[in-house]
Amino acid sequence: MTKTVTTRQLILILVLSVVTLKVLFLPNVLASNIGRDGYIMLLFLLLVDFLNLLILLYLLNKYKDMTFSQILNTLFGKAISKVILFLLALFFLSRCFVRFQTNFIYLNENLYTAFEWYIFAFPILICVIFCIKQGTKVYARLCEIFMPVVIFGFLVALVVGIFRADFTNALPFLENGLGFIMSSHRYSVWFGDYFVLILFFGKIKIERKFNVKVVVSLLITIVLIALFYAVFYFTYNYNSVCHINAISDIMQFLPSVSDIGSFDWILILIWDIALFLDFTLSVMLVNFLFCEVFNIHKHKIIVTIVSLIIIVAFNYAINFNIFLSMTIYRDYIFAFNILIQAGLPILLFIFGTAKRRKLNEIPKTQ
Amino acid sequence: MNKKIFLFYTKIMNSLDMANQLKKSLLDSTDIIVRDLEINGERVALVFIDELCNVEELNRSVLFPIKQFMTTDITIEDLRKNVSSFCNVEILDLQQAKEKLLRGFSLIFMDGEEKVLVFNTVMYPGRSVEEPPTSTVISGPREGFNETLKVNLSLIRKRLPSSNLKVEELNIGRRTKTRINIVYFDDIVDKDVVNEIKQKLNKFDIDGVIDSYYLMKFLENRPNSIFRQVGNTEKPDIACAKLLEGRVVILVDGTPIAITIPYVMFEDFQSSNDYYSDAHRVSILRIIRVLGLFLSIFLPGMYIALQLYHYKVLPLKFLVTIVNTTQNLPLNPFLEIFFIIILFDILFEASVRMPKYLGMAISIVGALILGDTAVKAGLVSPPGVMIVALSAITVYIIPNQSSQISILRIVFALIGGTLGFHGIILGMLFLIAYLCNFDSFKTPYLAPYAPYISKDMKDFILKDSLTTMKTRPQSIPNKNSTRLRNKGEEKK
Repeated sequence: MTKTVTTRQLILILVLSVVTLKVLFLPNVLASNIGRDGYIMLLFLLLVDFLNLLILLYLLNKYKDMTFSQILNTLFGKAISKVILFLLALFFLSRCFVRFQTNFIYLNENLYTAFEWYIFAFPILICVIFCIKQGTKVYARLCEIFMPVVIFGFLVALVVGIFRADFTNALPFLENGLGFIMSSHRYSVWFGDYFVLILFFGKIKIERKFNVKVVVSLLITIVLIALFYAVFYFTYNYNSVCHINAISDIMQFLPSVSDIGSFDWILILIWDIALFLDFTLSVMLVNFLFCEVFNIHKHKIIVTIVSLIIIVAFNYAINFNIFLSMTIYRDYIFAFNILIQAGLPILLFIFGTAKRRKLNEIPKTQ
Repeated sequence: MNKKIFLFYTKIMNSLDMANQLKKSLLDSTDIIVRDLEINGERVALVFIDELCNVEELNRSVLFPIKQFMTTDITIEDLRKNVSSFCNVEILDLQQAKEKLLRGFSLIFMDGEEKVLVFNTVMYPGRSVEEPPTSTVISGPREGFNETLKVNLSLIRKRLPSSNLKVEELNIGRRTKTRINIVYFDDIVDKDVVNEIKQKLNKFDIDGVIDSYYLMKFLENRPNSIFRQVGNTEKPDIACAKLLEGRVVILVDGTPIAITIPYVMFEDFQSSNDYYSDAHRVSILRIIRVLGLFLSIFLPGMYIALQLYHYKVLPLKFLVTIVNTTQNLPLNPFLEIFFIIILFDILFEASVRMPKYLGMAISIVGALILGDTAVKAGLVSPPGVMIVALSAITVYIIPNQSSQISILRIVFALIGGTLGFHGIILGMLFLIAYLCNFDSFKTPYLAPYAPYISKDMKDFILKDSLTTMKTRPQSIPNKNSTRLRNKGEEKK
């Protein structure tokens, strides 16, 4: 298999998938439900997710030249691996729904007054199809070009927020204890990002200190995201519930000269790029997984088109109402999400280790 | 001996007949001169093309020595040996001699000799070595290539007197038989690149190659794309610098434009001046060039999008100014900008094609009369004119990309008018995704940014000092990456 993705590109893709949605609507959701200690919940869920990353990295290092479906075949056999791939495909399809919806609402909130869904949908779908057709190499390069801009935008928003935030709002610390952690499953739809790594299994040019680079950069990202929530909440305090779009709202505090104009719309444009890239990545994964499940090797683009039609149809059916879809996810789909986000990594780890033991045992017996 | 063969043989052996036969085979063209001469009692026939031959050279270096050495029993080989100290001479068969004649060489036929003496008396009309009008520099060498291959190669050779510099010659074009030189450093270049070039050049059979542009299209993986995939230069110093980086230079006879391969898009942001100036200043200039590129492509589209969809983004004072100037316009912002773009392009096209003395008048009519009158008549707004003018000027900040940028700014103006900022963002993503897949000759098109190559970033937007550039560009495949090392250090 040709190694098309560099370590740097992979890190940027992982950072993209972790950051993009966490700094848009999630802070508002956490602020509404948890309030002051929301950053602890965010940190907790991010760290749980991080364990998934460690397990996936473990598999990646163990089976350097194998694709994810080949690994599953080795660990579980063909039938079970197909089931797992299918469940993952559904998982990513649900992520696509959220991302598509978020992008639409984001644009309607920030850039357009009345944006018709079809004017939004068709150009974006054409671009997504084009990007997917170019392959993972091109996608990785695209991320490599735009992610520094996205990260820069995020850091600017964070710095601006830090100067505006009143950190005394953090007190009293954990006034209601840690009981709210028990409700973490309600936010599962916003997490499970590291599974995007499975698309790049067997395609990564593993360089020196690969694991250290990935782990350190993502730990920093996690801390920064939690800090971002804290900054957001400590800036607006109880009014946070009124601020739906965290990153854009924080940027409103950017010192600007009125004659030149405010620059927060530059960040809005930057985040439009991030949302597109994140959505494309999810569709790419759906495409990859369905193709693996149904052994489609020639006309992969048809799978992409069908997936996109499903995504648009779903969103049309619920009238692009993100709050409705969040309720659906929270109340009905959370169990499935937890199965994938918590159950699958554990399963992979156990079987991966067991396989290793078996492999180690063979030379001894010989 | 068969009578027919004998007659043919005798006929061929007669110098004048041979010369006339040759002229006949060239359709009796009137510019082919055949002279029957008797030198020291021996009959010879001299053939040359008047327009391509240096007659003075012919008298001095050909006829004069022949007169000295010609005797009745001298063979063609002996004569060649005797006169070779005076001029460049070789003995060729009739077919080869014919090809040489068409390139300006002079031929001497001798009675009883099958072969022909071929003298280099070529004199092509051509320019001298001048500064190329498309790449003028403030500091650094001013020499430019001209239309003569020999001159162009000599301009490279004089800068690179290295035993590892290899030149390979090809002739392409059924009718033009254009001479093409493939130049590279044998110990630096990646042989796969050279082989791919040769393979591509040998793959097609065209009637004529008039300019290097003809070859460019055959060397590109996507010849229908608006983006070029091979580099070009008119300056020998740039060509030499590229050779030292491990690239291949292709010189084509009859054109001052040399092709350089492999090519990365960012090359066009670099100017030869950059390498003869202070690195800090160069970094600032490169930032300006990148900014210029963005302005030229996106500014008209963004202006339309701002007016149609995102006026909230504009600061109040600016918005008021725009509203005041545009409220009475009969055209909407989209049509207004298109109208101005088309007006500018018409003026540009006319001024390029006009004779020089009329060009000034066109500029005055265009800029002052048309522009000013259009604004006063209320057809277009001053901000609209300013936006398009700025965009039109910045198109030429990267001259090699001007044709692509001109197309793209119209495309993005269309997108901005129909979809607003979101459309522009999508268009930009689409464009970059398209360019990310443009690898050719084992080189990524958007290197060193995608994929990121840290060592090459020293000569990207922010330019580092020459003393820190110890390796050749990693984005260009090469087999000897060391560029700079301390004296006495081992060769890697």
